[in-house]
Amino acid sequence: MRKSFPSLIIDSAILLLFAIVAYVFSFSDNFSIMELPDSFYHMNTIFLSILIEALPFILIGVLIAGFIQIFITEDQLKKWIPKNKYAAVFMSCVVGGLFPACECGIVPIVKRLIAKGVPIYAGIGFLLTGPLINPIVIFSTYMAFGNDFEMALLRMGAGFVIALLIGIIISFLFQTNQLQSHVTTGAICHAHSTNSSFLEKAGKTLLHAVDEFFDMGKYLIIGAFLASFVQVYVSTNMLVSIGDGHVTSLIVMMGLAYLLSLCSEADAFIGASFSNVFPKSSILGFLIYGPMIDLKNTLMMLSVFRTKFVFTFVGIVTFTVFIVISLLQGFN
Amino acid sequence: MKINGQQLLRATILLFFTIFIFRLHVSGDILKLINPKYETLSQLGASLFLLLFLIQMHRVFTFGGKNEHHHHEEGDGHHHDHGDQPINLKKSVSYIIIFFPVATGILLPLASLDASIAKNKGSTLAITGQAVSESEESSQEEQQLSDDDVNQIDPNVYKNKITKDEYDQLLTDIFQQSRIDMNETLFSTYYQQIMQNPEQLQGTKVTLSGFVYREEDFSPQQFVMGRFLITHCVADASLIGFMMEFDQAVNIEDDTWLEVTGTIQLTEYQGSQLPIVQIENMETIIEPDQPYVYPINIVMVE
Repeated sequence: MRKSFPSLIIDSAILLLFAIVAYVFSFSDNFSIMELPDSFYHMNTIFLSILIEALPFILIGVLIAGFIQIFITEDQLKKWIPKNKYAAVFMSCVVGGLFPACECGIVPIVKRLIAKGVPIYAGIGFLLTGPLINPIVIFSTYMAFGNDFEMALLRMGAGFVIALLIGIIISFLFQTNQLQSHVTTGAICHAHSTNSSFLEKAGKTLLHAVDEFFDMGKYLIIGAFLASFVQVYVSTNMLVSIGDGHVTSLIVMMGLAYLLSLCSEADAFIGASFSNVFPKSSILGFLIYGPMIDLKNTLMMLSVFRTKFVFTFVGIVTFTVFIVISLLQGFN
Repeated sequence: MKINGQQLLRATILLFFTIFIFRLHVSGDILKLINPKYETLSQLGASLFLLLFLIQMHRVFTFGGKNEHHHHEEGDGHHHDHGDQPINLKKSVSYIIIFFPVATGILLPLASLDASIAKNKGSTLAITGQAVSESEESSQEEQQLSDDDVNQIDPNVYKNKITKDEYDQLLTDIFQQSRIDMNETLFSTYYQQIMQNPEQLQGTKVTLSGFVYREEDFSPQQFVMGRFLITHCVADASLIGFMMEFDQAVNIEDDTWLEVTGTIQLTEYQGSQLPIVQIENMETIIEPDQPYVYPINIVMVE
């Protein structure tokens, strides 16, 4: 088999790297003698478990982002999105609801969409409903609350309304795309690569995914680390003891949702375990707020959007969820 | 031929992630992190890392001036980062952060969750949070009991696949059995059923294993025995188990694994009926290879 010189070099470099990395891993057992407090090992385990669980979703997210970058043009997107602000927000929330995603995998996708000219309010609608409303989340919520559809329906319904409200508020407050400047230029510098073969495009999609992974990965890692720190060192019992009234318990549950940074598919079970401690509305706050925004996802957004926008956004989401849930509470 | 150091660094990090995840699967350590139901997804993740690594390797070398990778000719100075720009302090920090989990994964062994985590987790509130021990009147039934959750942590999701019919059968069969054997597969299913129907199951014998966990205000005869239920990964672990009672003080340390046979009894606490297990026989066991339990996986048949 004859191979060209360059591919021979690349292949041998691949093999060499494999050998080196495998060699490094072979040392790993020798290190475990280190004496550290138990809690440290627990934190490390929880940290790695969040990462291992989130990485496949992130990778799928950066691949879709790479695909959007290379295969979908600004013009196509412009055609699909309604001119009317409200219609655009509504459509993005519906599309988000149909699109199964988790709250970290969706950030690179939204980043690409907005860089491609999707208005910020439409991007936000998609970002909010993507992780919150999808079949897996509905099913796990249904199961977690004793095969009862009430909580699952409330979660979807109230969540959808809240996402619409937030999208509309954002559409009044922000006109520009709010991306950090390097993100936008990134989109422009790629624009000239539109007329190449499919294979070339596929390769570019993958390379783009690599860049995206290195852009986003660090924020996911910091977020996962902080979340694991909270899980090991901050006592939930203490938090819970703060909240007995309707208002304080809702604040506690939303704070918990933010800090724990659970995946929207798994948080229903945790939420359900608080059922006998807190009123239903607080649990609903936990279930709606968590998928929309949490610690790990805030950090990822900071890598994409302007800092001021991210903080305003977190404020708006917190406020809207709080108000809507409190109103629902009033009706019960 | 030129080697681009930073592209090589990126490729190496991708490869580290690939081998790190595959290694977790080969050694079985992955079970200390995630529900086995998600193993395939995690393997897919590792394969994607491998693919990205292989693609990235094509950016490492530059041959005879012909560039294999995308280059910025436009001199606007505002580049989105493809790893072409020289390494500065900020970039070194981001590479260190990205490599950090692989490093701790190599250096530190994975631990399984224990009572100290249970103490910190809100999920334990369900079983123990409001447990108050009453004055020591030797009659065991009068012990105050924990405010157990009655219909939470519904465990009937996923893991070992059974059909909806088989599952319903399981739930009804439990009432005919003279002894409920809470093995690992059915632990969460039976747990839920006992919590929901303590009256009908009163007096039934039950065998289960788990680790010991106590709160400060338990009486010496009381402890909680349970296991962590993992839905996705250990970050969402919640403790499920029962309040245990023995007719004399129990001198067992927290985190000890026990196998217990006992009888389900009812206690009233704040107006609701709560099951406790009156211990008849217990022995210390070593911690099982798989300390966690998972929700059962119901196949929805059309």
